[in-house]
Amino acid sequence: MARRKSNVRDVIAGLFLLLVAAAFGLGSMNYTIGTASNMGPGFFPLMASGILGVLALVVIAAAVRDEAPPEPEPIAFRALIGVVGSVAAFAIGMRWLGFVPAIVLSVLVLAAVQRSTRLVPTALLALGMSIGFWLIFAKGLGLPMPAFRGVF
Amino acid sequence: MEVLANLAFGFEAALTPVNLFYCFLGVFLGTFIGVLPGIGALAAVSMLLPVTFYLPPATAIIMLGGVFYGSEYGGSTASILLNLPGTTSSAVTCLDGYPMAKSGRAGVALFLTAIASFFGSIAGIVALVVSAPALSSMARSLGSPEYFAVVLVGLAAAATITQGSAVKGLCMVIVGLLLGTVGADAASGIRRFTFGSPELAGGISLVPIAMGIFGIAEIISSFALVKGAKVHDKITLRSLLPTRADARQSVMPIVRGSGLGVVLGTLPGTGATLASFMSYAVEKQVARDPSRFGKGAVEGVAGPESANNAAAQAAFIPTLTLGIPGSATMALMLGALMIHGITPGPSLIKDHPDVFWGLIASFWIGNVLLLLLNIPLIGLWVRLLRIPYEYLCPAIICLICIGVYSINNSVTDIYLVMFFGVLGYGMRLVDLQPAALLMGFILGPLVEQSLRRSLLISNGDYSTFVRGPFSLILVLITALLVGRAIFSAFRGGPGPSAAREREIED
Repeated sequence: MARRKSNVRDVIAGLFLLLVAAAFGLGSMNYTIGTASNMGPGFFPLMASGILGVLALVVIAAAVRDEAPPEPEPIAFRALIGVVGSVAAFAIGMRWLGFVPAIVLSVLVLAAVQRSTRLVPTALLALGMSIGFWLIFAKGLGLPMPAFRGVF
Repeated sequence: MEVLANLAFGFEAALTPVNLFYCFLGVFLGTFIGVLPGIGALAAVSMLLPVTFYLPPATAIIMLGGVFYGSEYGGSTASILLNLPGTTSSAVTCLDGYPMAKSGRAGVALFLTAIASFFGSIAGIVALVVSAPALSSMARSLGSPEYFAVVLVGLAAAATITQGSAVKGLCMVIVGLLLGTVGADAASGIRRFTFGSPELAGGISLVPIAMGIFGIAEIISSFALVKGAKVHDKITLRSLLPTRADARQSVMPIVRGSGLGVVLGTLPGTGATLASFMSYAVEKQVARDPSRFGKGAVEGVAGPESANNAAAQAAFIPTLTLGIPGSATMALMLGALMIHGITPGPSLIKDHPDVFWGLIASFWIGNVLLLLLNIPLIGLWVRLLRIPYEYLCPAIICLICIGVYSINNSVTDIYLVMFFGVLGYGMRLVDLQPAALLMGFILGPLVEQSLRRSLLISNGDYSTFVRGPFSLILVLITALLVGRAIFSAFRGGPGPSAAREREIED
């Protein structure tokens, strides 16, 4: 007996949408709902999440019946970790160390996940970008961003 | 001759050195980002949004407008040279542009693209100038129920027509509407969904959302894609010149493409991508020898390129006259206006003539600048494609971080971008369109407000939306779109976009 297939990708999408609908729907119960002629703050979110809930069920129902689901796209873990890490490195660097170290950290983290990274070009890139961007944004546009802070 | 007087007024506003500079900067940066594969107009506009916060409103919108249509110009460069579309609306250009490049005619393809884009844009601007004043005075006479119906049909069309599954598009619009309710309620002042956080009282800000779900998410998904693409051709100025036959074959496709682009650009939900696909299909239909298509037919480049640029300009028609954007990029433009304290809507032309006519005048200027940027300077853009992505990628990430940080000098905003970036990438993986979410998010307050006002006036009677013939028709169209979306989900068949792609592949 052939196992019945369903479209995993769409089931996940539908469940995510259902979750959003439930969260906003339940959340809006905390506020006055009111009536159509005198809408309280909860009226519109409740209505919208109700419709979203129904449509999310449609997505799930259709996905379960889907007979020829497409191959799900593979998750690009390397890119995901690299880019997210790079943004986080910038945020952490900016908070504690200042603008120049933030850029250097951000570049290095991204370089760390790439297979083709070579040491010298990456170091030059980090150095060039941090100084260049600092000159453009802090010196040129006058944004209040200290080059170094805290421990230095 | 009022139009001419208005245009003269607009040119006066647009030709100040400051506005001229930012118009140039906008189209330059737009082309730059458009050329890079995987990063489209939406990411370009959201990345540059913070830069415009420090500018006067007219200047800001002139620059952002330039970024938008500039990226439509630039998008085709990567399509032709790398077979990777720089923007989605130039995906079609790959079909014949890349074969042209492979047979050593990349220069001709790039030249024709610039010329076709220019004429398409001009057609779009003329349509905008001619129709906008009349449309907006008509729109000013709409009551709340009619206005609600217009917004509704706009959202439904944008969600169901553009890409992927229509039901999922509708869902994303509603998720956007819900995200738009976060913050203080306009009527009662009560804070909704803020979890007591004072930072959320004013609502979730537009920039972290837009930069996250477009900027960061697009970088993640194009990270692997772009590696290994190499440009081999050398583009010299001499190689740009088309032959007499090329020129003759391009004239009619440009005319047809421009017309198609103007119509589809004005309608909500259709926009530049659909316009370019349609134009390609039309050219293939009318061609004497359709088998040349896909092997480097100049019509397959000229038609779609004029269509997507015409649509890009015509998209400003509903945005500026009704205050209703037909696409997420246009919604972002509206968001930018709102950040500057300008309420978009039918009275924009009357209340802020300097913004409206200045913007239109800047379109003329910007397109001439783009022609100059794209023909003599094409070598620069080609060289840009030679820069390895390993170097561009960290630069773009840092620019996003700096941009977001600079708005409030807040590290929290950077984490928000990160959050929305991951969310955006996740949504992409399960085929949920983030563009629809952004439209819902920006139009959310407007939807809620016009719904509340209509029902207040009608004393809670929902039939107010189907009383007038105008709103009745719009509500029926909305119902039709939603019904079709649900029906096509269950039929399990390919949606309109899949069918379209198949048609192109043939």
